Amino acid sequence: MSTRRTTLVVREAVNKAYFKPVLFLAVALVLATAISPHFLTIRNIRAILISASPLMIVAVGEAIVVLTGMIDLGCESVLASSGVLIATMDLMLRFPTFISFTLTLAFGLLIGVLNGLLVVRARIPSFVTTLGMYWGLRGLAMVISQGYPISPSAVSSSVSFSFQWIVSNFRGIPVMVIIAFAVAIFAQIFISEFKKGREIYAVGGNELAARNCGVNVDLVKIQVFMVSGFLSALAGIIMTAWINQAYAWTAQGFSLQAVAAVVLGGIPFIGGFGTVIGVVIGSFIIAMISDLIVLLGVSPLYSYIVTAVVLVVAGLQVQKGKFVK
Amino acid sequence: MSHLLLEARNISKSFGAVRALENVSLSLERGEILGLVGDNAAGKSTFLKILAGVHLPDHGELLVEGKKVVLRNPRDARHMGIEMVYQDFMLAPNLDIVANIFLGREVTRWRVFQKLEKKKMKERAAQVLEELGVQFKSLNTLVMNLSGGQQQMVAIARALLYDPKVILMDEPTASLSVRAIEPLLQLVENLKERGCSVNYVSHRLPDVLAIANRIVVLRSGRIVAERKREETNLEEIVYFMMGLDRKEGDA
Ligand SMILES: Nc1ncnc2c1ncn2[C@@H]1O[C@H](COP(=O)(O)OP(=O)(O)O)[C@@H](O)[C@H]1O
Ligand SMILES: [Mg+2]
Repeated sequence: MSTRRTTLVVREAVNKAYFKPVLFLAVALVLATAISPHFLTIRNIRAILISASPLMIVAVGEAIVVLTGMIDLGCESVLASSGVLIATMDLMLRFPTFISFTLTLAFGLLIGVLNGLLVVRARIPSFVTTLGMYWGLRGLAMVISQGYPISPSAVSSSVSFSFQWIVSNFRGIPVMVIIAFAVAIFAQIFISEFKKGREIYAVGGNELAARNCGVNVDLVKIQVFMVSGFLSALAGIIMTAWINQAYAWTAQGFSLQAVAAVVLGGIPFIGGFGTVIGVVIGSFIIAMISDLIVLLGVSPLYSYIVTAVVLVVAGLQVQKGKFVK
Repeated sequence: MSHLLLEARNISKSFGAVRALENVSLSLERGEILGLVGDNAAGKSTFLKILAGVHLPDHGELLVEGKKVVLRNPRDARHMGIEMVYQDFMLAPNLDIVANIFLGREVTRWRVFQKLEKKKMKERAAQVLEELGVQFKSLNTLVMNLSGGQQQMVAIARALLYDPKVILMDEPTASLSVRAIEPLLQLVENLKERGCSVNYVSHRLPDVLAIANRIVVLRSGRIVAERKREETNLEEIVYFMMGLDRKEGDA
């Protein structure tokens, strides 16, 4: 291979949207390994992947929304209320797992439709609409659970939920990690290889142009919120099984963590650029920060500050690059 | 009547208190370049957008090849073979050349999920651009990295993608360098040779006089004059545009 060809290949790789997130990850891994010798062990990486899974799933949904130039602040409340819903259906109403699963995911989709309609029909900005969901669905979760945690041992004679398998292992690999990666891979292929994905990028790039070229922009907006609602509900189910209880105040701050993962992953707020792969890496980095802080024996309270610093640095990068229109 | 490709009858359109168009009737013949001129805010863009399905008129009707049509959105207009090249191009800066040319009309397979046929689209895009005589280093260049003139070509290629009958061009020279204007005018004439009708909006009158078969002057939302090219000159058109004419009997 000639040098010219090599330079070309390198330049092409650098221009790929996921180049920066991968670079961030490499730097983070090197730093983490240097800081703590316990970091780069299979056991620890596995623990990070497990703790990153729910965030990853929510962040993929958030990414799809942010790609269009909107935002979903309600994810964490969809997550919490979905948890409370499925716990209630599973333990108190004794619905078959399949039914409670389907209903919970349908609930997430429904919230997405509602968000979408409020944005495209009532013309309320997504920031406000989903902020409403953020409070409203926490409230719903509070009302349904009466403010108490719903756990199998407290409510029934069983020791676990009927859908506990979702946090078990498959051939040694945690099922929730498999689900998170499956969601991410599926989403990545969907946005880069399918017409709907193209439309999502077009709405983020130039909404009016998309509309004038025949893209049903309103439908796209409703659909991205449906994806986000669905994935938040899925994360809610997994989280409930994982901590073996559903609680109205679960996953506090998760929406903003998802937004942080999206930014770390290279998607600017105006939308139109970036990949799901980048966002997966962003989620991993956020989970890594908390892990590292625990490994170092520093108070977990510091993880917020570290995340903040990393986020601002990443944000600066996104601004400097050609991400900005 | 079939020599009339597109006909607008008594079109009126207001935006709130602003009367952008009042009772405008205008027709476009097959293979004709119609120059539509007028001062700023005369209603030129609004008229083209009504023909392109972007706005619905408040009053009046549209006929395509003698048949009444209602264009509810740009998709309807495209189905009728009407394409518009917008003044600001209407391109997505974050997408590449091919994606912009096929925006809203991607070639796909699998009916429900619609997987993109990227290779087919690239081939077809290359073909259209070649017909236009433009070359790009790579068709996967993002539009944001193109010059104004190049973006213009992408917008025109998009309009030509599926052999349109009518092309509406709104101030196509506005973001071109002086050097790029002549080739554009040549291109518009080539479109005519192909049998395509062009409704060409510009306030660069010499350009319009150079290529148009017929010239219509809009002022404050009304048609104040209509002239065959050979029957008029720059001076007269300027008079009509500015409202300085004292002649009687103008259409
Ligand atoms: N979408 C719109 N909303 C409100 N007013 C508009 C809109 N589009 C055009 N107008 C008004 O209609 C009039 C005609 O505008 P336009 O058709 O753009 O004129 P031209 O293209 O001849 O400069 C102007 O007064 C303009 O301000
Ligand atoms: Mg105009």
